[in-house]
Parts: sequence; structure tokens; C-alpha cells
Amino acid sequence: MTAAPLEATADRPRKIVVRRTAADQAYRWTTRVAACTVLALLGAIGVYLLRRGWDAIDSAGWSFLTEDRWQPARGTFGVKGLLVGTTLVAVTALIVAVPIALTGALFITEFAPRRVRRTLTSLVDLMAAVPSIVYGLFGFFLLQPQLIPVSRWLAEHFGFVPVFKVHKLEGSSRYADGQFASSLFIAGVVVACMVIPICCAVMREVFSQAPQGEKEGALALGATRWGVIRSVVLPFGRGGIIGGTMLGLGRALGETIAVAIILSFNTGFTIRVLEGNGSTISTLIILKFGESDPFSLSALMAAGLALFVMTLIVNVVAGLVIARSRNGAATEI
Amino acid sequence: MSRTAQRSSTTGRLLRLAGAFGLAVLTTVTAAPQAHAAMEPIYGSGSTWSMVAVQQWASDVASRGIKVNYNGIGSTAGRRDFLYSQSSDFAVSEIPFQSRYADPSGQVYDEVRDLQAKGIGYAYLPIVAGGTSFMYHLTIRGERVRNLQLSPRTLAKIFTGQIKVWNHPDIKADNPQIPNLPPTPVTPVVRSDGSGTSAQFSLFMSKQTGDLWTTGMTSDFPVPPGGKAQPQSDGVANWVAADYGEGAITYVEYAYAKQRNFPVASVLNASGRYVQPTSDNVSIALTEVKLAADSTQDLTGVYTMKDPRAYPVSSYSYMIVPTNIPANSRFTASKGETLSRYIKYFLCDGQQQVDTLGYSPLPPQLVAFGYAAVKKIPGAVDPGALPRDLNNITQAEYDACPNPTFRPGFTKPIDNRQNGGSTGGGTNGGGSNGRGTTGGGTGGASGGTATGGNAATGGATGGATGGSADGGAPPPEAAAVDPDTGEPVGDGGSGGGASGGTGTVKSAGATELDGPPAVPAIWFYALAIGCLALAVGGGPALYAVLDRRRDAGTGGP
Amino acid sequence: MNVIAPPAAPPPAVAAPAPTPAPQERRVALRGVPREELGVAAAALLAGAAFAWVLYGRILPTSGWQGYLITAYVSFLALYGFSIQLRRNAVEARDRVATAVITTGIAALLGTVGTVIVYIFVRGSGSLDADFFTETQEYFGALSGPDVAVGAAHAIVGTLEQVALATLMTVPLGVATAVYLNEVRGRLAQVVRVVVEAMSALPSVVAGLFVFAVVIVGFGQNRSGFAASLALGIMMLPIVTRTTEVVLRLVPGGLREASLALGASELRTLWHVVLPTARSGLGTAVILGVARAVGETSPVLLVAGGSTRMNWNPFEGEQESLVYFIWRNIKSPSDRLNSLAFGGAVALVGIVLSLFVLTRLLARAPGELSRRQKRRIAREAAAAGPSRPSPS
Repeated sequence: MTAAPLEATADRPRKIVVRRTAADQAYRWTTRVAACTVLALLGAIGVYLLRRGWDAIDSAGWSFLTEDRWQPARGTFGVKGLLVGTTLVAVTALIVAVPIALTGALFITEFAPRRVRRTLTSLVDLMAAVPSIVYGLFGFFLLQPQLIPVSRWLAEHFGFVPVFKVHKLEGSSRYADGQFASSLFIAGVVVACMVIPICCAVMREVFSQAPQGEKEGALALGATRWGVIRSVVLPFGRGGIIGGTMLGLGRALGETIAVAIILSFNTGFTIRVLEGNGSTISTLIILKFGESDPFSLSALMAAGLALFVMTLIVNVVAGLVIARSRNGAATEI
Repeated sequence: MSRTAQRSSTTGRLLRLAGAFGLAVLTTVTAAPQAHAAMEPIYGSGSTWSMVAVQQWASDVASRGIKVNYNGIGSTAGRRDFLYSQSSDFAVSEIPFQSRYADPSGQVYDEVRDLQAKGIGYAYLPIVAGGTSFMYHLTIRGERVRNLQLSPRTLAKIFTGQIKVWNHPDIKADNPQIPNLPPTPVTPVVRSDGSGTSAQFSLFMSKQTGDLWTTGMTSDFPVPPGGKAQPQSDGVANWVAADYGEGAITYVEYAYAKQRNFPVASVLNASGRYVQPTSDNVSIALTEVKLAADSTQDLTGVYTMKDPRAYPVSSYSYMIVPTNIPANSRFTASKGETLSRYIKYFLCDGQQQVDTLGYSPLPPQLVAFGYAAVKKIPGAVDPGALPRDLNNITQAEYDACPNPTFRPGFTKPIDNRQNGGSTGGGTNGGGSNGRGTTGGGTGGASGGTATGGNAATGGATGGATGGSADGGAPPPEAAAVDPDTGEPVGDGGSGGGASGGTGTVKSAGATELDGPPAVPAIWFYALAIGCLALAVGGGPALYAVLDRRRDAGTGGP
Repeated sequence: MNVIAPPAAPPPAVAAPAPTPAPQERRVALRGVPREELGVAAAALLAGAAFAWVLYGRILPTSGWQGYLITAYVSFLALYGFSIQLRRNAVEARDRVATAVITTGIAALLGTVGTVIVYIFVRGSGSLDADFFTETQEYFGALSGPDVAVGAAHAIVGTLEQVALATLMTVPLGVATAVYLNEVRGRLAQVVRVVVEAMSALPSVVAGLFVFAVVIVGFGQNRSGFAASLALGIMMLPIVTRTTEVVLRLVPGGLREASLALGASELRTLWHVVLPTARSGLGTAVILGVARAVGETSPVLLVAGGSTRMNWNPFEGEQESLVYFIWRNIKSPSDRLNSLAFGGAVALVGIVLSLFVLTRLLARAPGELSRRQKRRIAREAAAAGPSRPSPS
């Protein structure tokens, strides 16, 4: 009986008219211009890469994606091995870096006494300030001799996994130390040193913003410190964990000098991370641009473009993941 | 109240900060101390191989007002700077300008044509010479081997991955003095970046062992199977010197091996002797350099020189200098003066200590090429007269140009050598078959030849090798092939003055190929500073103005 | 932000019946580790090591100290957790194990930082003297004797100027872009976000080549520090933008809405609510950007040219930077120059560290007041009336 009138008078959303002040208009336009500048700048680099790389892509065709050798002067070049090498270094770096960065960030925000918190933060930031050439030398002289036994151990015990396989030399049943040197794995660990501070800084920043009320609520309900972390801090910070990881991934993919110093650069398709040969795209560009004729330079730019596209895809996928998780934007107080 | 305080403090601090930064930038720009040097500074870029020497010379002459900046970005990049962007005053390169090279996309790439089209005149002159030495890391029963000998064929087999163990028959045949070579795997370590050392070594192999090395001259060395690649000279040397570098061998400048106290292999030369890459042995070999028609190097004579002291894997890199002031160029006559004084220094005095840096002094023949080229630079200062007879230089001529290879008697054939100065040719009666290692000790500077162990080195037995020497005789003239283009090039013959025809052909229509006309720098920087100021000060200032007006309008706090 | 310390053991409001052996309420320890637990941890560590020795070294056909360490660590965690579970309960056992893992993580992190820093200092200590900060490398080559003064002053000046210029250009742009992405949320936001993210992996040499093509070939300018700072800015931009965006996203929506509901304009909300709340995050964004820019060699190589002379003017002429200085000297076959290179690394780390401290001071966490602010508040409070207690 009363159904019809109710339906008739059902609430309809009021139309909101936003009347912005001049200041707000200016503000919106300023940010809009800034965003367009950034887009134009980075877009220009993308277009530059495409334009400079087009000669090479055009001449190589699809073999650009399937070829794993890099001899532009002879017309045989492709990014297959390079993309795989880049991915392996970045994945190794993230596998090493993310747990350390995550635990480090948790310790700084949740465990460290207030007094040492700032010191710890500065120390981690300090790690980001060391230039990559120094990380390369540090990795070469200090880390590599320590990591060779680790590589050997992995190869001897997990050699049945294709990734950890290392071929034995002719007429020898043992591995030589030199076989493990300068591998993708070691390069990945060194890159991890550079990724850790970036990941850690972003995660720390996000964790420190975890809502105090929820944390206190969890404690009041009898949660332990770990309970608070698990039920409040980590879910709240998931966006930051992923964001930090993606930033670290970007750094790992683009790292040049340190990888160049460590890695024995050889463009061939390989997934054996422990065997001392491999290649990444950034390293290729830094090592070869100085002695490249225009066509080889074009090929290098095409490789840069491939890296750009790969990063684009990874980020879009990660963006979808982030959009589904609870992140800071959903926080209310 | 507290809100107002906070707001004003925030904006105030940011404004103050922005102001401080802006002020700092302005002071930096306006109050920059202007160095008034007599000569205009010059800038060059190119070869990384030569960088250590070029920089050393620059620091030597800096106190005389000759200001030289050098940037080792790679030979080809250096040539690009000189030719396409015209952003450098000189280039240093191991490889001459390329001509008629069709790339895989079918476009013809011709630097020589582009040079002509842009109206850039240029000349090559030798800048640093050096031998490619082979640093190795081999241990037998806890003792480091220091007297390894290798023939060019064995080297080619090692660096193509055909020899995999150190007790390979070929290595054994080269080394009768090392009885028990271990079955250690051979790890050839090559340069992963494009490098002049790679170019020089690969050129040597393609000329001497073309059947084993089919890649030709390349600055991008292919990694042999079982080998490693490392960037820069220090990179390869560090790898070989590391603990895990057991069994490794690399090609690198001598100085890097010496710095790490590692030995370098003696290489078999055309006279049948195994020779260490000392600076004198390299300089001797380079006296056989011929100039091709375009005044690029022809090293065939070097590789096959019969002098028992000659180190075969010897080469030099070029400096490319302008011979005119083309349109759109930043080159000036004043820069030409700086450049010519710098060149005069490094051709003579500068060569005295290059052996300590791992290079070799330029022999008189190459200095003569340099003298001929330097006179063509606009604004150049005359470097002086050359010695009358390059094979018989007098003391006075040596005093005028104290290049160590000018010292009297240096370039004479070996049997006339009066042990001049520090050169000590030495032969060791190595091993059972009586083949020897000729070593040249260059005084204390190179720390003696590192033949150690059972190899007796020194001048004492030097005369014993004199008999087989015929180093003075010119090698048979052969049609040389340009290493990169594969085209036969004419042989310019030997002789000091034969450096003509540097290809400084000026194109009639000297129009620019690419690049818009240069924007006057002042506008560019005005624009840049404007943007900067806008970015820094604009936001906060805009905010402050707008916010205040709004506050006034609405009667806010 | 900080975990509130629990109130000091509030006595039970209602006197509980004393004799009941009911599950007694235990206070959750939030700070520190009781001594007995340290004992348990030590015992577990010992037991883990011993267990791993038996299992890994004797029973399983495995070898190598790496595997031993892993086995020992895993057994330590298991034993530690188990003993806590016996003494307390599973919840606390999980807490302790997690604490142990997290502590291991920070130890690894600090160990790495420490090793790197000590390594640089040891290799570079030989060249760090007063000259290092006042002299240039103009007159010093590999062959120069000990009487020739050498330093990195020119490189320090170059690094400071180039990074400062890059920061000045990048930070306003990056922050404004992040604001656009997160506050304004315009139509282009998604595109901008994707492009910025993809650019974070741009190899630095590509940025260098781009600036080279535009500034040096395109506009016909000479090499200069300013050109290098443009390239460094390109490297910094994605990092600053992304980090800022991450921290802006953390600002609770309620704060914004409260501000808007009180009638503040959008700009005022941004300026007084959003940015101050995210201030320490903005500091982190700047720090990460600077850290990225300061370590780049190849753009400097391509567009700044490098120089052994002092060049105060970043807009004209080749300019050195510390990373280029390191690169130049590390590849020389001279121990003296190699040591100089590591000295450059020490100087670089020192400079950047002081910049970081400065940034942190400027970007204090919200609510934290500077000394001057505290003084002023105290002053105003005093002026308002002596009866009111000073809020500080």
C-alpha cells in the first residue's frame, strides 16, 4: 500500500555542483601541467627510443625477439637472451632484497626503540647513497669470493634444477672456482644491495603510517607484537610492500655499472644463474655504446625500448594486483 | 592562532628555502671565478685505452697554461663527437674514420663522406703506442709460473677457445722450459666493453693467424667458449689476479699486470724469439709502421719484423685533429695553439715516462708523422725541426725532443746497439731446445723483465742474438687491406714525410647535414633559469598570493 | 606511529578471588626481551648448532658450511619456537620466532651497510687529507710525486651543483605530478602513472644519450654540468614521483574530508593537511631520488664531459662529479689513483649523508616541532598568561 509512494519519493543523489575558487583552479591546473610535463618528457624519451631504435627493429623483424646473439654489424641480433638475463638478475635481486628490506622496515618501525630509530633509518639511507660503481667493486672484491662457495654448494646439491645447473668441464668431475665467478646470481646479489635501501625506505614509510587506533585495538584484544604486525601493519602496508618492491625492481632492471663490473657479459640465451656468463640490457647499452656505429647504436636503443616495454608490462600487471589489495587509500580514521 | 602560526611557519620555511636555493644558484652563476688562461682550453673525447696517458700529459702541462680536458667514452663515440655533434676539439681513436660501410638495414654509412659534406678537415697523428700483453695466472705446485711463452698461433687458439687445458700439446711445444704443465682449464678473459685493446689484438690475429681467427678486426671481442668477459682493463686484470682466476689469461696493458705483480707471457716474433712486451721492444717493432694512403696505420711490417727485440703485438692509437675551422664549429685558432703545444709536449717530453703507465714511447718515424700533421692545425705553433736522419739521431736532436726513442743509437739495427741508456736486450738460454726469450729491461721503471724463475735476463748475453738480426731491411711491400672495409688500400711506403693526403678534401657544398643551427647560449640558459625559477618559486609564491587574497575576501582567520 | 607503552600494570579493579588457579592474565610485553628469554634463545642457538652438526654433517650426505648455516638457523628457529610454546603458548611462540627472524633481517642489513662503509674507508683512507677537500686533480697524474697536491674539490663542487639543480627541477615537478595522480586524479592519471612506472627502469646511459641528442646536438650547447643535471633529473623523476605517490596514498581520507567539510579549499587541504601529514614521506622521496642521481656515471660521461679542473659554473664548460672522479681514477694502473677513487667514494657518502640529515630535519614527522617552533609556542603561551602551563 505504501510501496508506491515510497518508491516515488526514493532518495535520489543530489547533484553536486563544485564551484572551485580561483586558487583551486590554479592548483588543479598547476598539477595538470606538471603531470603533462612529466608525461611529455618521459614520452619524449620513449619516442626517442622508438625513433632511434626503429632502424634496427625494422631490419631485424621478429627475429629481434627470438634471436639471442648480439652482432648488429652482421645483422643477427635479438633480445631473447638479454631479456631473460635481465629478468634473472632482477628476480635474484628481489628474492634476496625483499625479505631483508621487509624485516628491516618492520624492525625499524615496530621493534626499534625510539632513540635508535632515526639512526637506523639514516644507516639504511646511507646504503642508498653508495654509488653503484663502488657496489660493483665491493661485490667483485668482497662478495664474489664469499658467494662462489655458495654457488658451488647450490650447484652440487640442487644441480638437478635447470636453473642451478652448471656444466662440468671436459675430463673433470669437479667444478672450478672460476666457473662460478661473474654469474647472474652474484650480479643479482650485488644488485640486491642497491635495491634493499629503496625497498626498505618505502616500506618503512608505509608501515609507520599504520593506523595507531587499529594497532592499539589489536593490542587491547591481546595480540602479541607479531599479531599486531600480521593483522594490522602488513595488511595496511601491502600497497607499500608492493610499491617498494616495484621501485626496487625498476632499479634492479636498470642497474648498469655494478652489473657490468660483476657479470661476465655474454649475450646468449641461458637460464643457468650460477654459470658465470650472462647479459642484461642496461649492461649491454653501457658496454657497447662507446664503440657502436649508427646502426649498432640503433640496435642498442631498440634493446632499451624492449626493456621499457618489459617494465611497462610488469608494472601494469603489478598495478592490477595493487588495485585489488587493501592499501593505504582505504584507510579511514 | 596556532593554525596561523603553523601555516606561516610552513610557507615561510618553504619560501625561505626556495629563496636560499635560488640565491645559491644565482651566486654560483654570476660569481663564478673566471679563469683567464692565456690559451683557450680544449676538450677531446674518445679511446678509453689512451685515457691514462692523455690525462697524465694534461696534468703535466696544466701548469704551463695548456688546459686539456679528456673524456674516455670510447673510440667510436669520440669520432662521433668530432664529426656529427662537433662537440669536441679533438678525438682519440684506435680505428680511423670508416668509409662505405653498409649496415644490415641497407643504409650506407660513410664517415669520410660525412666529413667532407660538413667541410671538416682532419688529420691523424699517432698519440700513444703500446703492446698488448698477455697476463696470466698459472700455478704449479704452489708456485706461480712466470716464464710462459706463447706463439701467435697458440694465442689465437686460446682466445678462440680451441685450447681448453694448460697441458695442451701446443702450449707444451711453446714451453719446453716448463716441464710439468698442469691440466688446469684455460679461462680466456676478454673485454666486455668495446675497446681498443680488443681491436688491436683481433687485428693482429686476423693478419697473422687468419685461418684460426675469422672475425677480423673488432673492438667488440666475442667471448670464447669457457671464457669470461669483463669491462675495462682493470676489470680483466682484477679477474685474472683473483684467487678463482687460476688458469686465466687475458690481453691487457702491461701496467695493469705489473700493478698486480702478475707476469705476462713472452710472445714469439718473426725472428723466432719469445719477447716480453717491454716499452722498448714495442717501440722497436713500431719503427716498421707504414702509412696507408689516407695516413692510417699499416701494421703488417710490425707483425713480421725480423728484429729479435721486436714485440709483435704492437700498435698505436690516433689523435684526430682538425685542419680547418669548419662552419658551425667551436674550434678556434686559439684552441689550435693549445692543441699544437699539447701535441708537441706529448710527442717529445711526454713520451719519457709512458712505459710506467704501460705504454711505449712513439718511435721517431711516428713522431715524424705527428710533426707533419700538427702543422696543419689552424693556429698551430711550429713544433720545430725533425731530426735529419731518423735512424741516426744526434744528441742535439735528442735534446730538442727528448723522446726516449730519439736517444742516439736506439733505432739502429741490433748489432750496432751500444746498450744506449736503459735498454738491455737479453736472451736466456731457456730450456732444452735452446730457444731463447729476448727480454728488454727498461731500467728500473718497468722493474726488469718478468721472466723470473729460470730465465736469466739482462744485457750480458744480448750480443748473442745479434747474428740473426736484419731489422734494418724494409719488409716486402704488400698490398695492405683495410681492416674494416675489406678493401685493398694503397701502401704509402715508408718514410717520415709520407703523411700527405690526409683526406682533408673540402666539399664544395659544405652544408650541414643534421642538427638545427645553434641557439645562442644566452637564450637557452635564460629559458632554463626561467623555468627553474618558475618551478622553484612559482608554486609557493602563487599559493601565498592566492591564499592571502582568499583570506581577505572571506574574512578568514 | 610509536607504539604506546602499556600503562604500568593496572591493578585489577575488582579484587579477584585469590586462590583460583584460573588462567592468569599476562601482560603482553611490548618492549625489550626478558633475561630468561635471552637464556632460552641462547640455549636454542646452541642446540640448533649442535643438531645441525649431527643432522647435516653426520647423517645426511651433505657438506659445505653454507648448508650447515641454513640447517642450523632453521633448527634454531624450530627449537626456540618449541621451547617458548612449552613455556607459554603457541601465540607467543609465533611472536618470538617472528621477532628472531626480523632481528636477523636487520642484522643482515646492518652487516651489509657496515661492510660496505668499512670497505670504502679502508681502501680510501690513504688519500683523505685536508688537500682532498681543497685541491683539484688538475696537476696530478699517475706519475706525479707525493709533493703534488691532489684533491677532489672540483668533483665535490660538481656533484653538489649538479645534484642540487636536478633536485630543484625534479622535486617540484615530481611532487606536483604525484599530487595530480593521487589528489586531483585527472583523466590522464592512469597513463601518467604507467609511463612514470615504466621509466623507473630506464638505463641511465639512455637518459644521457637523450639529453645529448636534445641539448648538445639539438640546441648546439656545449657540455656542461647543467646538461648532466637534466639527465640526472630524468633519472630522479620516476623515483620521486612514485615514492611521493605511495606516501600520499597513505594520508587517511578522513583527514581530507574533515578539512573539506570545514570549508577549506582543495589547495588549502593539500597544503595544510595532506602534504604536512606526508612530510616525512616526502623527505624519503627526495632522499631516494638524490641517492639515485648521485651514483650515476654515464650521463656525466656523455653530457658533462668530466674535467680535472675546478669549474664553478654548471652552465658552461665541462664539469666533473664525484662518480666520474671515481670512475676516472679507479681504472688507472696506479695504486695512488685507485686510493683516490675510494677517497672520492668516502666523500660522496659523507656528502650524501649530510644532505640526508638535512632533508630529514626539514621534513620532520607531523606533530614534531622544531626547536624554534617550540620556543615560539612557549613564548606565546607565556605572553597569553602566566597561569597557563607551557605546552612543551
